[in-house]
This record gives sequence, C-alpha cells and structure tokens, in this order.
Amino acid sequence: MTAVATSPQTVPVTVLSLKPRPDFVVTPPVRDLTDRALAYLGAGFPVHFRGPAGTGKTTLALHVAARLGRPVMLIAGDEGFATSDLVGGQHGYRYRKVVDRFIHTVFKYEEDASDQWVDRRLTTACRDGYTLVYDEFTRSRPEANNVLLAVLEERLLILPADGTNGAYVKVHPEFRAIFTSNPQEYAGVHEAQDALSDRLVSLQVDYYDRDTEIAITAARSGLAADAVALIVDVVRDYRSSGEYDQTPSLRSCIVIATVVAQQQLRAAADDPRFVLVCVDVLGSKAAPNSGEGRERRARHQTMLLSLIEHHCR
Amino acid sequence: MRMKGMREVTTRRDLIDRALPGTRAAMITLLARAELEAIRLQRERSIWATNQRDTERRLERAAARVESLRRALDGGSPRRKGVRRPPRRSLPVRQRTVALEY
Repeated sequence: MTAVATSPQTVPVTVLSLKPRPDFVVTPPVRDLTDRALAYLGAGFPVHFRGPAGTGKTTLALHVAARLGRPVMLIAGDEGFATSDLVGGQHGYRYRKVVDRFIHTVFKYEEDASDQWVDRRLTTACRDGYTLVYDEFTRSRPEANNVLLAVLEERLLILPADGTNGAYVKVHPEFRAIFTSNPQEYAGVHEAQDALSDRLVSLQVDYYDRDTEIAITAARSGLAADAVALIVDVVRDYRSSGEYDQTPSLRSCIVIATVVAQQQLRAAADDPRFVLVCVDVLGSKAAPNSGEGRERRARHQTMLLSLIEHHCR
Repeated sequence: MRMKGMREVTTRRDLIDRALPGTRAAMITLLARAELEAIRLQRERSIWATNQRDTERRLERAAARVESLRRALDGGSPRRKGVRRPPRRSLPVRQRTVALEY
C-alpha cells in the first residue's frame, strides 16, 4: 500500500465587498467625478485620483470600485513595500509524504518539503479579474511599482522566474485598477515614475464646493444643516486664508460637527465650549508652539477667533 | 547459604557493629551515631521517593510522545476492520469576503 499525503495547495484569499454607508452623500461633483472615472475604467484604462489630503480620494476610489460590481482588493502604499508584497513570493513550505508498504515487512518512508508560492493581492486581482484599489501608491518606492507597468500596458503580470505558478499571468479582462495619491510635496511621498503616470488617467480631486461639504458633514455628523453651514464656512474661510501648515480639510468640519452634535453644543461664538472645540481642531493646523512659530500661532489663534465671531454670531 | 561475593564476608567491623559496647559512654556515642544514621536514611528515602515520582511522570510523557510521533509517521493507526474513518476535511475556503462600508 502506498499512501501519499500533501499539504493543502490553496490559501484563503480575502476580498472586499463594498457598499456605501447609509450617510454616504452623492452630490453633483461627486457624481461627475464618479461617472468620468467609470467611463475611463469601462474603456479599460486605470484611473488615478490625485489631490491633497482630506479631499475624499480614498472614499471616491472605493465608491467607483463598488460601482464596478466586482470583488475589490485594497492595497495601501508603504515605504517598506517590495515587488513581492504586490505579486507574492515563496512563503512557507509544502510537504509531501509517501509511506510505501507494498511489501508489509518493508517500510519505506519518504518526506520532502518544497517552497510554496503564495499569491499577493495584485496577482490575485489580475488572475481573477478583481478591482484593485491602490491607495496612496506614491508612498511605496517607485521600483516596487515596476511590476504594474506591464500589467497596465501589456496586460501581463510578470512573476519572478522562480515562481512555481508560472512566470507569467495573463491579466483577466475584468481586472481594473484605481490609484490614489497625494501631491509630491507631502511628507513620506515618492515621485511617481513617469512611465507609470503615463499609463494612468489622472483626475484631480480638490476640495468640494460649499454645498457638497455641508451635505457630507451633515450626513456624517447628524447635525442640522444650518449649524453645519456655520462650521463649514469657518473652515473654508480658514482654508482660504493660507495661515496654516496643514490644510484644514473636510475632516475638520466632520470632527467639529460630530463633537457639537454629540455634546449638544451650540454652533455659536458665545458658546465657549464650541469655540474651544474649533480652536482645538483647527489650531493644530498651525506651526508648533516654539520659536518663530509662537508668534505665528498667536496670530493664527486671533484669526480663528475672529472667523468664529464673524460666522457664528 | 552460598555467598555471592566478598561483600558478604563477615568482617571484624561487622562483628563490632553488631556487638553491644562495653562501656556506657561508648553506648551513648553509638546511640547518637545510630540516631543520626536513621535520620539520614529517612531523608534519603524521601529523596528517592520524590525522584521516583518525577521519573515516572517523565516516563509517561516520553511514552506518549513516542506514541504520537509513531502514529504521525505511520499516517495514523492501522485501519481496523469495521471501523469507519471520519470523513475527510474539505480544503480551506479559497475566497473569503469581507464587507466594507465606505
């Protein structure tokens, strides 16, 4: 009798099934961006949402991916990424054991172990035709993204030569890729390769218009729209002043409005707790409280108070 | 009775040890020595008992390990007639889906 035992060859793959939150807001600018992205993706071109932090690029990418109706693979760019983190590599071992008892008095036992190739998300997405969302891809070093060049142009995933699953994977026709990135001047961001940027349709995502910001903030915080409008106006005026080191984004509006709603504060300049929340959230966008930054911080706080006074009388 | 070795030959020391001492002082000395020897032997017996218990425990563990390794190497114990094997487990699920709200 000969018995052969091998370790399982498949490893579980986790995919995302996306759906919008109940408070997800689709305003005309969001719809416009979504439709444009879907048009490019439908034609087989990868889309790249580029814009400053807090403009909703990732959420927009997930929304577009959800609209495609395919399982989604989400990757977040990272400085420590290597090609193997995208495509896979030799991980663990595959065991094979043979027990030969053809003659009952003879016991023959063989056991060998070989490297096992494990697909990573890009390979799985290419092979099975999933939608790849590569968030903040410029946070990965450019050479880690080299493998994407052939995927996006030749529709061929080139695996390392020692891969046991075949050196090439033909990209599934349903495979789509959506990228997001911050501008190059942001900390921890690498310059995107020209060759890769050239393959992407880049859509600029900027801060939304006032109505969209009010709609999103009201939906996320549960605060009444008229109170939200005051908060959004303060943040937008502050943003246009340029007196900050980190741009105050829609997130600031949502944080302030959520705290106001939960603590049952009044969005008014005569409510000291509301003023404190605004100063806490928006004050952190200025320079640290040291040296030259101290004066700027004081100016900045005065300006913030006057903005609150102006909008929330 | 047949002697097994030189250890069983009665020596002068044996005779002295078995004999009662001639004086009261020598008797007290030997009594003290005998009492100490009894205490020492009791201590030794307790150490041996502890060692025996530990060794038996280790032996049980080693025997269990031998048995489990032998079973693993043989791919399970030999199939007995009339005994049903449990159904083979299915391969791991290839795809898991995680719902995400954005």
